[in-house]
Amino acid sequence: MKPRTVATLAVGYFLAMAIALTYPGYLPANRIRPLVFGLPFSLFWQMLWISGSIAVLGLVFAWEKRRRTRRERGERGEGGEGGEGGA
Amino acid sequence: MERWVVVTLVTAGYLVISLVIGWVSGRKASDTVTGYVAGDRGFGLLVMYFVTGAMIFSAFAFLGAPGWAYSRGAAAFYIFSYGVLGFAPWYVLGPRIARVGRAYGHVTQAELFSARFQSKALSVAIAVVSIVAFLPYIALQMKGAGIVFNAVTDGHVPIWVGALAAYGVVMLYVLKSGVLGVGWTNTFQGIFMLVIAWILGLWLPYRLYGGIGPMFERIAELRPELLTVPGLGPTGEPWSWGAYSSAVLVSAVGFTMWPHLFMKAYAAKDDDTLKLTTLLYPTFLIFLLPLYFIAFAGVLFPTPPQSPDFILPHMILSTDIAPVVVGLFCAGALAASMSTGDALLHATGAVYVQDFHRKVLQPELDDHHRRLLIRIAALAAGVIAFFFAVRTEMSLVALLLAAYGAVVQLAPLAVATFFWKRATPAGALAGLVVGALVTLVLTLYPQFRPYGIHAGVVGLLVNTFTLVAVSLITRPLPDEHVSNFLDVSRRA
Repeated sequence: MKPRTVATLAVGYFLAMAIALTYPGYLPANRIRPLVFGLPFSLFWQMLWISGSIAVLGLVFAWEKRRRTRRERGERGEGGEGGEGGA
Repeated sequence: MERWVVVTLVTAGYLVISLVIGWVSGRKASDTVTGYVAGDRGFGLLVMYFVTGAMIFSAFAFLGAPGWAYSRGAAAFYIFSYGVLGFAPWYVLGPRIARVGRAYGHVTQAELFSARFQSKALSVAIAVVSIVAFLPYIALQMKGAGIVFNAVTDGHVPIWVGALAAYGVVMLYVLKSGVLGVGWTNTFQGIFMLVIAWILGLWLPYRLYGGIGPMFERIAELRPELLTVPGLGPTGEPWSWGAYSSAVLVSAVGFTMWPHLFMKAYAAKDDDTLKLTTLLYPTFLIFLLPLYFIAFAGVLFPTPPQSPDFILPHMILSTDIAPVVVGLFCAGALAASMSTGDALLHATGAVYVQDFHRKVLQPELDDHHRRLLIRIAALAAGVIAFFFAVRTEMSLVALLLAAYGAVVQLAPLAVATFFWKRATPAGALAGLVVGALVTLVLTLYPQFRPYGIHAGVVGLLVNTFTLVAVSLITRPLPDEHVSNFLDVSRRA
Protein backbone atom coordinates (compact mmCIF):
# COMPACT_ATOMS: atom_id res chain seq x y z
CA MET A 1 0.00 0.00 0.00
CA LYS A 2 1.08 3.56 -0.59
CA PRO A 3 1.96 5.69 2.44
CA ARG A 4 -0.87 8.06 1.65
CA THR A 5 -3.41 5.23 1.61
CA VAL A 6 -2.22 3.96 4.98
CA ALA A 7 -2.37 7.46 6.44
CA THR A 8 -5.85 8.04 5.05
CA LEU A 9 -7.14 4.74 6.43
CA ALA A 10 -5.70 5.43 9.88
CA VAL A 11 -7.03 8.99 10.02
CA GLY A 12 -10.34 7.69 8.67
CA TYR A 13 -10.62 5.23 11.54
CA PHE A 14 -10.15 7.94 14.15
CA LEU A 15 -12.62 10.28 12.45
CA ALA A 16 -15.16 7.46 12.32
CA MET A 17 -14.44 6.82 15.98
CA ALA A 18 -15.01 10.48 16.86
CA ILE A 19 -18.43 10.27 15.21
CA ALA A 20 -19.29 6.84 16.61
CA LEU A 21 -18.62 7.98 20.16
CA THR A 22 -20.44 11.32 20.03
CA TYR A 23 -23.72 12.58 18.57
CA PRO A 24 -25.20 11.21 16.32
CA GLY A 25 -22.95 8.19 15.69
CA TYR A 26 -23.49 6.85 19.19
CA LEU A 27 -27.28 6.60 18.84
CA PRO A 28 -27.56 3.13 17.24
CA ALA A 29 -25.24 1.64 19.90
CA ASN A 30 -26.64 3.61 22.80
CA ARG A 31 -28.59 0.81 24.49
CA ILE A 32 -28.26 -1.36 27.54
CA ARG A 33 -28.98 -4.76 26.00
CA PRO A 34 -27.56 -7.07 24.90
CA LEU A 35 -24.99 -7.14 27.67
CA VAL A 36 -21.62 -8.17 26.23
CA PHE A 37 -19.06 -9.67 28.63
CA GLY A 38 -21.40 -8.42 31.33
CA LEU A 39 -21.12 -4.81 30.12
CA PRO A 40 -24.07 -2.72 28.94
CA PHE A 41 -23.88 -2.42 25.16
CA SER A 42 -23.17 1.35 25.41
CA LEU A 43 -20.04 0.62 27.45
CA PHE A 44 -19.01 -2.35 25.33
CA TRP A 45 -19.19 0.01 22.32
CA GLN A 46 -16.49 2.17 23.94
CA MET A 47 -14.29 -0.85 24.58
CA LEU A 48 -14.76 -2.02 21.01
CA TRP A 49 -13.51 1.26 19.53
CA ILE A 50 -10.66 1.44 22.03
CA SER A 51 -9.50 -2.05 21.06
CA GLY A 52 -9.88 -1.12 17.40
CA SER A 53 -7.61 1.88 17.84
CA ILE A 54 -4.87 -0.35 19.25
CA ALA A 55 -5.28 -2.69 16.27
CA VAL A 56 -5.20 0.16 13.71
CA LEU A 57 -2.07 1.82 15.07
CA GLY A 58 -0.53 -1.63 15.51
CA LEU A 59 -1.07 -2.35 11.83
CA VAL A 60 0.36 1.04 10.83
CA PHE A 61 3.40 0.33 12.99
CA ALA A 62 3.91 -3.12 11.49
CA TRP A 63 3.49 -1.71 7.98
CA GLU A 64 6.09 1.00 8.63
CA LYS A 65 8.49 -1.52 10.02
CA ARG A 66 8.16 -3.85 7.04
CA ARG A 67 8.60 -0.95 4.67
CA ARG A 68 11.75 0.13 6.44
CA THR A 69 13.35 -3.33 6.35
CA ARG A 70 12.50 -3.63 2.66
CA ARG A 71 14.16 -0.33 2.00
CA GLU A 72 17.21 -1.30 3.95
CA ARG A 73 17.51 -4.34 1.73
CA GLY A 74 17.94 -1.91 -1.12
CA GLU A 75 14.60 -2.21 -2.79
CA ARG A 76 13.09 1.02 -4.04
CA GLY A 77 10.44 2.47 -1.72
CA GLU A 78 7.54 4.51 -2.94
CA GLY A 79 8.96 7.86 -1.91
CA GLY A 80 7.90 10.21 0.85
CA GLU A 81 8.23 9.32 4.49
CA GLY A 82 4.57 8.53 4.82
CA GLY A 83 2.43 6.25 6.88
CA GLU A 84 2.54 8.41 9.93
CA GLY A 85 -0.96 9.73 9.72
CA GLY A 86 -2.43 12.82 8.18
CA ALA A 87 0.54 15.10 7.70
CA MET B 1 -4.74 -4.47 65.80
CA GLU B 2 -7.25 -1.81 64.82
CA ARG B 3 -8.06 -1.46 61.17
CA TRP B 4 -6.63 2.03 60.76
CA VAL B 5 -3.28 0.94 62.20
CA VAL B 6 -3.01 -1.94 59.73
CA VAL B 7 -4.01 0.38 56.87
CA THR B 8 -1.40 2.93 57.90
CA LEU B 9 1.32 0.29 58.18
CA VAL B 10 0.57 -1.17 54.74
CA THR B 11 0.51 2.32 53.19
CA ALA B 12 3.75 3.23 54.94
CA GLY B 13 5.31 0.07 53.51
CA TYR B 14 4.26 1.13 50.02
CA LEU B 15 5.73 4.61 50.58
CA VAL B 16 9.05 3.16 51.69
CA ILE B 17 9.26 0.95 48.59
CA SER B 18 8.46 3.96 46.35
CA LEU B 19 11.14 5.99 48.04
CA VAL B 20 13.78 3.30 47.68
CA ILE B 21 12.99 2.75 43.99
CA GLY B 22 12.92 6.48 43.31
CA TRP B 23 16.11 7.15 45.22
CA VAL B 24 18.14 4.33 43.65
CA SER B 25 16.96 4.79 40.06
CA GLY B 26 18.64 8.17 39.57
CA ARG B 27 22.18 6.78 39.88
CA LYS B 28 22.58 6.19 36.18
CA ALA B 29 21.65 9.71 35.04
CA SER B 30 24.44 11.97 33.83
CA ASP B 31 25.08 15.18 35.77
CA THR B 32 23.45 17.42 33.18
CA VAL B 33 20.13 19.17 32.64
CA THR B 34 19.38 16.59 29.94
CA GLY B 35 20.09 13.82 32.44
CA TYR B 36 17.92 15.35 35.14
CA VAL B 37 15.02 16.50 32.97
CA ALA B 38 15.04 14.09 30.00
CA GLY B 39 16.76 11.02 31.45
CA ASP B 40 19.54 11.35 28.84
CA ARG B 41 16.88 10.49 26.22
CA GLY B 42 17.14 6.80 27.13
CA PHE B 43 13.70 5.62 28.32
CA GLY B 44 12.68 2.21 26.99
CA LEU B 45 9.18 0.95 26.30
CA LEU B 46 8.32 -0.31 29.80
CA VAL B 47 9.06 2.97 31.56
CA MET B 48 7.58 5.09 28.76
CA TYR B 49 4.39 3.04 28.89
CA PHE B 50 3.84 3.66 32.59
CA VAL B 51 5.02 7.28 32.53
CA THR B 52 2.44 7.98 29.83
CA GLY B 53 -0.27 5.93 31.51
CA ALA B 54 0.17 8.00 34.66
CA MET B 55 -1.31 10.90 32.66
CA ILE B 56 -4.80 9.43 33.01
CA PHE B 57 -4.26 7.38 36.15
CA SER B 58 -4.13 10.32 38.53
CA ALA B 59 -5.99 10.89 41.78
CA PHE B 60 -8.91 11.68 39.45
CA ALA B 61 -9.07 8.02 38.40
CA PHE B 62 -9.69 6.93 42.00
CA LEU B 63 -11.93 9.83 43.09
CA GLY B 64 -13.37 12.10 40.40
CA ALA B 65 -14.03 9.62 37.60
CA PRO B 66 -15.73 6.98 39.79
CA GLY B 67 -17.65 9.85 41.40
CA TRP B 68 -18.97 10.75 37.96
CA ALA B 69 -19.84 7.16 37.13
CA TYR B 70 -21.66 6.81 40.45
CA SER B 71 -23.66 10.03 40.31
CA ARG B 72 -23.90 10.71 36.56
CA GLY B 73 -23.67 7.23 35.06
CA ALA B 74 -22.70 7.02 31.40
CA ALA B 75 -21.67 10.70 31.35
CA ALA B 76 -18.39 9.33 32.74
CA PHE B 77 -17.84 7.30 29.55
CA TYR B 78 -16.56 10.47 27.89
CA ILE B 79 -13.21 9.88 29.58
CA PHE B 80 -12.69 6.67 27.57
CA SER B 81 -13.43 8.43 24.30
CA TYR B 82 -11.32 11.52 24.74
CA GLY B 83 -8.42 9.52 26.14
CA VAL B 84 -8.13 7.44 22.99
CA LEU B 85 -9.05 10.12 20.45
CA GLY B 86 -6.84 12.67 22.15
CA PHE B 87 -3.79 10.49 22.29
CA ALA B 88 -3.78 9.12 18.74
CA PRO B 89 -2.18 12.28 17.20
CA TRP B 90 0.82 11.57 19.44
CA TYR B 91 1.77 8.86 16.96
CA VAL B 92 2.63 11.65 14.53
CA LEU B 93 3.55 14.46 16.93
CA GLY B 94 5.60 12.52 19.50
CA PRO B 95 8.42 11.36 17.21
CA ARG B 96 8.63 14.80 15.56
CA ILE B 97 8.97 16.50 18.94
CA ALA B 98 11.61 13.98 19.98
CA ARG B 99 13.66 14.41 16.77
CA VAL B 100 13.73 18.18 17.10
CA GLY B 101 14.57 17.80 20.79
CA ARG B 102 17.52 15.54 20.03
CA ALA B 103 18.84 17.87 17.33
CA TYR B 104 18.51 21.12 19.29
CA GLY B 105 18.95 19.77 22.83
CA HIS B 106 15.43 20.62 24.04
CA VAL B 107 13.99 19.39 27.32
CA THR B 108 10.75 21.42 27.59
CA GLN B 109 7.73 22.18 25.44
CA ALA B 110 8.30 25.94 25.17
CA GLU B 111 11.86 25.34 23.94
CA LEU B 112 10.39 23.53 20.95
CA PHE B 113 7.91 26.27 20.05
CA SER B 114 10.34 29.10 20.64
CA ALA B 115 12.97 27.36 18.49
CA ARG B 116 10.52 27.13 15.62
CA PHE B 117 9.26 30.71 16.02
CA GLN B 118 12.43 32.33 17.40
CA SER B 119 10.37 34.09 20.02
CA LYS B 120 11.26 34.77 23.63
CA ALA B 121 7.79 36.18 24.33
CA LEU B 122 6.22 32.91 23.25
CA SER B 123 8.48 30.98 25.61
CA VAL B 124 7.56 33.20 28.54
CA ALA B 125 3.83 33.05 27.72
CA ILE B 126 3.88 29.24 27.60
CA ALA B 127 5.92 29.06 30.81
CA VAL B 128 3.39 31.23 32.63
CA VAL B 129 0.40 29.25 31.34
CA SER B 130 2.09 25.95 32.21
CA ILE B 131 2.96 26.92 35.76
CA VAL B 132 -0.49 28.40 36.40
CA ALA B 133 -1.95 25.08 35.21
CA PHE B 134 0.53 22.89 37.10
CA LEU B 135 0.20 24.35 40.59
CA PRO B 136 -3.52 23.70 41.14
CA TYR B 137 -3.12 20.34 39.40
CA ILE B 138 -0.38 19.32 41.86
CA ALA B 139 -2.43 20.67 44.75
CA LEU B 140 -5.40 18.53 43.66
CA GLN B 141 -3.20 15.43 43.55
CA MET B 142 -1.90 16.19 47.06
CA LYS B 143 -5.39 16.80 48.35
CA GLY B 144 -6.58 13.56 46.75
CA ALA B 145 -3.82 11.58 48.48
CA GLY B 146 -4.61 13.20 51.82
CA ILE B 147 -8.36 12.64 51.47
CA VAL B 148 -8.07 8.94 50.66
CA PHE B 149 -5.59 8.33 53.46
CA ASN B 150 -7.86 10.19 55.85
CA ALA B 151 -10.98 8.30 54.76
CA VAL B 152 -9.59 4.78 55.00
CA THR B 153 -8.04 5.38 58.41
CA ASP B 154 -11.43 6.55 59.72
CA GLY B 155 -10.05 10.06 60.18
CA HIS B 156 -7.07 9.03 62.30
CA VAL B 157 -4.57 10.37 59.78
CA PRO B 158 -5.37 14.06 59.15
CA ILE B 159 -5.52 15.17 55.50
CA TRP B 160 -2.39 17.30 55.79
CA VAL B 161 -0.38 14.46 57.31
CA GLY B 162 -1.37 12.04 54.52
CA ALA B 163 -0.58 14.60 51.83
CA LEU B 164 2.72 15.44 53.49
CA ALA B 165 3.77 11.79 53.84
CA ALA B 166 2.99 10.98 50.20
CA TYR B 167 4.49 14.15 48.77
CA GLY B 168 7.46 14.20 51.14
CA VAL B 169 8.43 10.90 49.50
CA VAL B 170 7.73 12.32 46.02
CA MET B 171 9.81 15.43 46.74
CA LEU B 172 12.75 13.35 47.92
CA TYR B 173 12.94 11.14 44.86
CA VAL B 174 12.22 13.97 42.42
CA LEU B 175 15.01 16.09 43.91
CA LYS B 176 17.44 13.19 44.06
CA SER B 177 16.76 11.36 40.81
CA GLY B 178 14.86 13.70 38.49
CA VAL B 179 12.94 12.11 35.67
CA LEU B 180 14.54 8.70 36.23
CA GLY B 181 13.01 8.67 39.69
CA VAL B 182 9.68 9.68 38.17
CA GLY B 183 9.96 6.97 35.50
CA TRP B 184 10.84 4.00 37.67
CA THR B 185 8.48 4.86 40.51
CA ASN B 186 5.69 5.33 37.95
CA THR B 187 6.41 1.85 36.67
CA PHE B 188 6.17 0.36 40.14
CA GLN B 189 3.16 2.50 41.09
CA GLY B 190 1.44 1.70 37.79
CA ILE B 191 1.74 -2.08 38.12
CA PHE B 192 0.75 -1.89 41.77
CA MET B 193 -2.41 0.15 41.28
CA LEU B 194 -3.55 -1.85 38.24
CA VAL B 195 -3.32 -5.11 40.18
CA ILE B 196 -5.24 -3.64 43.13
CA ALA B 197 -7.86 -2.02 40.89
CA TRP B 198 -8.61 -5.23 39.00
CA ILE B 199 -8.76 -7.43 42.07
CA LEU B 200 -11.15 -5.11 43.87
CA GLY B 201 -13.07 -4.16 40.73
CA LEU B 202 -13.92 -7.77 39.95
CA TRP B 203 -14.32 -8.96 43.53
CA LEU B 204 -16.72 -6.27 44.81
CA PRO B 205 -19.43 -6.71 42.14
CA TYR B 206 -19.06 -10.45 42.57
CA ARG B 207 -19.45 -10.20 46.34
CA LEU B 208 -22.45 -7.85 46.16
CA TYR B 209 -24.29 -9.00 43.02
CA GLY B 210 -22.70 -12.27 41.94
CA GLY B 211 -20.77 -10.79 39.02
CA ILE B 212 -20.40 -7.86 36.58
CA GLY B 213 -23.30 -8.95 34.35
CA PRO B 214 -25.79 -9.47 37.20
CA MET B 215 -24.77 -6.10 38.63
CA PHE B 216 -25.54 -4.26 35.39
CA GLU B 217 -28.78 -6.28 35.02
CA ARG B 218 -29.89 -4.96 38.40
CA ILE B 219 -28.93 -1.37 37.54
CA ALA B 220 -30.73 -1.73 34.19
CA GLU B 221 -33.88 -2.65 36.10
CA LEU B 222 -33.74 0.06 38.74
CA ARG B 223 -31.67 2.95 37.32
CA PRO B 224 -31.59 2.44 33.52
CA GLU B 225 -30.93 6.16 32.93
CA LEU B 226 -27.38 5.64 34.22
CA LEU B 227 -26.42 3.15 31.54
CA THR B 228 -26.99 5.06 28.32
CA VAL B 229 -25.05 8.05 27.03
CA PRO B 230 -25.05 11.02 27.67
CA GLY B 231 -26.03 10.04 31.21
CA LEU B 232 -26.93 12.68 33.78
CA GLY B 233 -25.82 16.29 34.28
CA PRO B 234 -24.23 17.72 37.42
CA THR B 235 -27.56 18.10 39.20
CA GLY B 236 -29.07 14.78 38.18
CA GLU B 237 -31.09 15.99 35.18
CA PRO B 238 -30.48 14.24 31.83
CA TRP B 239 -27.29 15.59 30.25
CA SER B 240 -27.37 16.99 26.71
CA TRP B 241 -25.70 15.39 23.71
CA GLY B 242 -24.16 18.75 22.81
CA ALA B 243 -22.45 19.06 26.18
CA TYR B 244 -21.33 15.42 26.10
CA SER B 245 -19.96 15.57 22.56
CA SER B 246 -18.15 18.86 22.96
CA ALA B 247 -16.64 17.65 26.26
CA VAL B 248 -15.20 14.67 24.36
CA LEU B 249 -13.83 16.79 21.54
CA VAL B 250 -12.32 19.65 23.55
CA SER B 251 -10.69 17.30 26.02
CA ALA B 252 -9.33 15.24 23.12
CA VAL B 253 -7.79 18.26 21.39
CA GLY B 254 -6.10 19.47 24.56
CA PHE B 255 -4.99 16.11 25.90
CA THR B 256 -1.62 15.85 24.19
CA MET B 257 -0.83 19.51 24.76
CA TRP B 258 0.17 19.09 28.39
CA PRO B 259 3.69 20.46 28.77
CA HIS B 260 4.83 17.54 30.94
CA LEU B 261 3.77 15.09 28.23
CA PHE B 262 5.94 16.88 25.65
CA MET B 263 8.81 16.55 28.09
CA LYS B 264 8.37 12.79 28.19
CA ALA B 265 8.72 12.64 24.39
CA TYR B 266 12.27 13.91 24.88
CA ALA B 267 12.96 11.12 27.35
CA ALA B 268 12.12 8.31 24.89
CA LYS B 269 14.99 6.23 23.55
CA ASP B 270 13.85 6.34 19.90
CA ASP B 271 10.92 6.82 17.54
CA ASP B 272 9.73 3.23 17.76
CA THR B 273 9.50 3.43 21.55
CA LEU B 274 7.28 6.51 21.24
CA LYS B 275 5.08 4.92 18.59
CA LEU B 276 4.64 1.70 20.55
CA THR B 277 3.83 3.72 23.66
CA THR B 278 1.16 5.57 21.70
CA LEU B 279 -0.45 2.47 20.28
CA LEU B 280 -0.44 0.71 23.66
CA TYR B 281 -1.72 3.74 25.52
CA PRO B 282 -5.47 2.93 25.14
CA THR B 283 -4.94 -0.18 27.28
CA PHE B 284 -4.82 2.23 30.22
CA LEU B 285 -8.37 3.32 29.47
CA ILE B 286 -9.49 -0.29 29.52
CA PHE B 287 -7.70 -0.54 32.87
CA LEU B 288 -10.02 2.20 34.20
CA LEU B 289 -12.95 -0.22 33.90
CA PRO B 290 -12.59 -1.90 37.32
CA LEU B 291 -12.73 1.49 39.04
CA TYR B 292 -16.00 2.15 37.21
CA PHE B 293 -17.26 -1.27 38.29
CA ILE B 294 -16.71 -0.36 41.94
CA ALA B 295 -18.53 2.93 41.39
CA PHE B 296 -21.49 1.20 39.69
CA ALA B 297 -21.54 -1.36 42.50
CA GLY B 298 -22.26 1.62 44.76
CA VAL B 299 -25.33 2.77 42.82
CA LEU B 300 -27.71 0.31 44.46
CA PHE B 301 -25.80 0.15 47.74
CA PRO B 302 -28.02 1.06 50.72
CA THR B 303 -25.81 3.82 52.13
CA PRO B 304 -24.54 6.75 50.03
CA PRO B 305 -21.04 8.23 50.42
CA GLN B 306 -20.69 11.72 51.95
CA SER B 307 -20.00 13.01 48.43
CA PRO B 308 -19.88 11.18 45.06
CA ASP B 309 -16.08 11.57 44.92
CA PHE B 310 -15.85 9.29 47.95
CA ILE B 311 -17.62 6.38 46.35
CA LEU B 312 -14.52 4.18 46.09
CA PRO B 313 -13.29 4.56 49.68
CA HIS B 314 -16.91 4.28 50.80
CA MET B 315 -17.43 0.96 49.03
CA ILE B 316 -14.10 -0.42 50.24
CA LEU B 317 -14.91 0.45 53.85
CA SER B 318 -18.54 -0.68 53.73
CA THR B 319 -17.83 -4.26 52.70
CA ASP B 320 -16.11 -6.83 54.87
CA ILE B 321 -12.68 -6.48 53.30
CA ALA B 322 -9.57 -7.48 55.27
CA PRO B 323 -7.75 -4.42 56.68
CA VAL B 324 -4.60 -5.37 54.76
CA VAL B 325 -6.54 -5.08 51.48
CA VAL B 326 -7.96 -1.72 52.54
CA GLY B 327 -4.36 -0.66 53.10
CA LEU B 328 -3.40 -1.90 49.65
CA PHE B 329 -6.30 0.07 48.18
CA CYS B 330 -5.12 3.21 49.96
CA ALA B 331 -1.60 2.62 48.66
CA GLY B 332 -3.01 2.13 45.15
CA ALA B 333 -4.87 5.44 45.32
CA LEU B 334 -1.73 7.15 46.60
CA ALA B 335 0.23 5.56 43.76
CA ALA B 336 -2.19 7.06 41.25
CA SER B 337 -1.87 10.48 42.81
CA MET B 338 1.91 10.34 43.21
CA SER B 339 2.66 9.02 39.73
CA THR B 340 0.95 12.10 38.29
CA GLY B 341 2.11 14.59 40.90
CA ASP B 342 5.79 13.69 40.64
CA ALA B 343 5.93 14.37 36.90
CA LEU B 344 4.15 17.69 37.43
CA LEU B 345 6.51 18.84 40.18
CA HIS B 346 9.51 17.88 38.13
CA ALA B 347 8.09 19.64 35.07
CA THR B 348 7.30 22.82 37.01
CA GLY B 349 10.93 23.13 38.07
CA ALA B 350 12.23 22.53 34.56
CA VAL B 351 9.75 24.87 32.86
CA TYR B 352 10.44 27.68 35.32
CA VAL B 353 14.19 27.52 34.78
CA GLN B 354 14.42 26.66 31.08
CA ASP B 355 11.60 28.80 29.75
CA PHE B 356 11.32 31.68 32.17
CA HIS B 357 14.30 32.21 34.45
CA ARG B 358 16.91 31.58 31.79
CA LYS B 359 15.07 33.63 29.16
CA VAL B 360 14.26 36.64 31.30
CA LEU B 361 16.42 36.81 34.41
CA GLN B 362 19.77 35.05 33.87
CA PRO B 363 20.49 34.14 30.24
CA GLU B 364 24.08 33.04 30.96
CA LEU B 365 23.28 30.39 33.55
CA ASP B 366 25.50 27.29 33.22
CA ASP B 367 24.30 23.69 33.29
CA HIS B 368 25.27 23.07 36.91
CA HIS B 369 23.43 26.10 38.23
CA ARG B 370 20.39 25.37 36.11
CA ARG B 371 20.13 21.90 37.64
CA LEU B 372 20.38 23.39 41.10
CA LEU B 373 17.77 25.99 40.28
CA ILE B 374 15.41 23.40 38.79
CA ARG B 375 15.52 21.48 42.06
CA ILE B 376 14.89 24.64 44.08
CA ALA B 377 11.98 25.57 41.82
CA ALA B 378 10.48 22.07 42.09
CA LEU B 379 10.74 22.25 45.87
CA ALA B 380 9.15 25.71 45.88
CA ALA B 381 6.33 24.42 43.66
CA GLY B 382 5.78 21.56 46.11
CA VAL B 383 5.58 23.94 49.07
CA ILE B 384 3.17 26.33 47.30
CA ALA B 385 0.95 23.49 46.07
CA PHE B 386 0.93 21.93 49.54
CA PHE B 387 -0.22 25.23 50.98
CA PHE B 388 -3.00 25.41 48.36
CA ALA B 389 -3.95 21.82 49.10
CA VAL B 390 -4.31 22.03 52.86
CA ARG B 391 -4.87 25.67 53.73
CA THR B 392 -7.12 27.30 51.20
CA GLU B 393 -10.72 26.63 50.48
CA MET B 394 -10.25 28.15 47.05
CA SER B 395 -11.78 26.14 44.28
CA LEU B 396 -8.79 24.37 42.80
CA VAL B 397 -10.93 22.68 40.20
CA ALA B 398 -12.03 26.04 38.82
CA LEU B 399 -8.45 27.25 38.66
CA LEU B 400 -7.34 24.04 36.98
CA LEU B 401 -10.14 24.19 34.43
CA ALA B 402 -9.28 27.80 33.59
CA ALA B 403 -5.61 26.92 33.14
CA TYR B 404 -6.40 23.75 31.22
CA GLY B 405 -8.51 25.91 28.90
CA ALA B 406 -5.31 27.81 28.12
CA VAL B 407 -3.27 24.60 27.66
CA VAL B 408 -5.80 23.39 25.08
CA GLN B 409 -5.10 26.58 23.15
CA LEU B 410 -1.58 25.33 22.39
CA ALA B 411 -3.05 22.84 19.90
CA PRO B 412 -3.23 25.10 16.80
CA LEU B 413 0.30 26.27 17.58
CA ALA B 414 1.55 22.67 17.74
CA VAL B 415 0.01 21.85 14.38
CA ALA B 416 1.38 25.03 12.79
CA THR B 417 4.83 24.27 14.21
CA PHE B 418 5.14 21.08 12.20
CA PHE B 419 2.70 21.44 9.34
CA TRP B 420 2.38 25.09 8.31
CA LYS B 421 5.52 26.77 7.05
CA ARG B 422 3.98 30.19 6.69
CA ALA B 423 3.10 30.54 10.41
CA THR B 424 4.95 33.52 11.92
CA PRO B 425 5.99 34.38 15.50
CA ALA B 426 3.39 37.17 15.73
CA GLY B 427 0.67 34.84 14.47
CA ALA B 428 1.65 32.11 16.93
CA LEU B 429 1.68 34.44 19.92
CA ALA B 430 -1.49 36.30 18.91
CA GLY B 431 -3.42 33.05 18.37
CA LEU B 432 -2.39 31.66 21.73
CA VAL B 433 -3.14 34.83 23.70
CA VAL B 434 -6.47 35.60 21.98
CA GLY B 435 -7.61 31.97 22.18
CA ALA B 436 -6.76 31.74 25.86
CA LEU B 437 -8.50 35.05 26.66
CA VAL B 438 -11.67 34.14 24.75
CA THR B 439 -11.79 30.79 26.55
CA LEU B 440 -11.27 32.44 29.92
CA VAL B 441 -13.99 35.06 29.36
CA LEU B 442 -16.50 32.47 28.13
CA THR B 443 -15.67 30.18 31.05
CA LEU B 444 -16.35 32.99 33.50
CA TYR B 445 -19.40 34.34 31.65
CA PRO B 446 -21.21 31.35 30.11
CA GLN B 447 -24.11 33.55 28.99
CA PHE B 448 -21.96 34.92 26.12
CA ARG B 449 -21.33 31.48 24.60
CA PRO B 450 -22.86 31.24 21.14
CA TYR B 451 -25.47 28.42 21.14
CA GLY B 452 -24.07 27.17 24.45
CA ILE B 453 -20.99 25.77 22.71
CA HIS B 454 -18.08 24.80 24.96
CA ALA B 455 -15.83 27.79 25.76
CA GLY B 456 -12.76 25.89 24.59
CA VAL B 457 -14.26 25.20 21.16
CA VAL B 458 -14.95 28.90 20.59
CA GLY B 459 -11.45 29.68 21.83
CA LEU B 460 -9.93 27.16 19.41
CA LEU B 461 -11.82 28.60 16.44
CA VAL B 462 -10.84 32.19 17.26
CA ASN B 463 -7.30 31.05 18.01
CA THR B 464 -6.88 29.27 14.68
CA PHE B 465 -8.38 32.18 12.77
CA THR B 466 -6.09 34.68 14.52
CA LEU B 467 -3.02 32.51 14.00
CA VAL B 468 -3.69 32.26 10.27
CA ALA B 469 -4.74 35.88 9.75
CA VAL B 470 -1.87 37.45 11.69
CA SER B 471 0.66 35.08 10.10
CA LEU B 472 -0.49 36.06 6.63
CA ILE B 473 -0.11 39.80 7.25
CA THR B 474 3.23 39.58 9.05
CA ARG B 475 6.60 38.86 7.52
CA PRO B 476 7.53 35.16 7.40
CA LEU B 477 10.67 33.83 9.11
CA PRO B 478 13.69 33.19 6.88
CA ASP B 479 12.82 30.22 4.72
CA GLU B 480 16.13 28.55 5.51
CA HIS B 481 15.41 28.42 9.24
CA VAL B 482 11.91 27.00 8.85
CA SER B 483 12.99 24.44 6.24
CA ASN B 484 15.83 23.28 8.46
CA PHE B 485 13.51 22.88 11.41
CA LEU B 486 10.96 20.92 9.40
CA ASP B 487 13.65 18.70 7.85
CA VAL B 488 14.91 17.79 11.30
CA SER B 489 11.38 16.98 12.49
CA ARG B 490 10.82 14.62 9.56
CA ARG B 491 14.13 12.83 9.48
CA ALA B 492 13.54 9.43 11.01
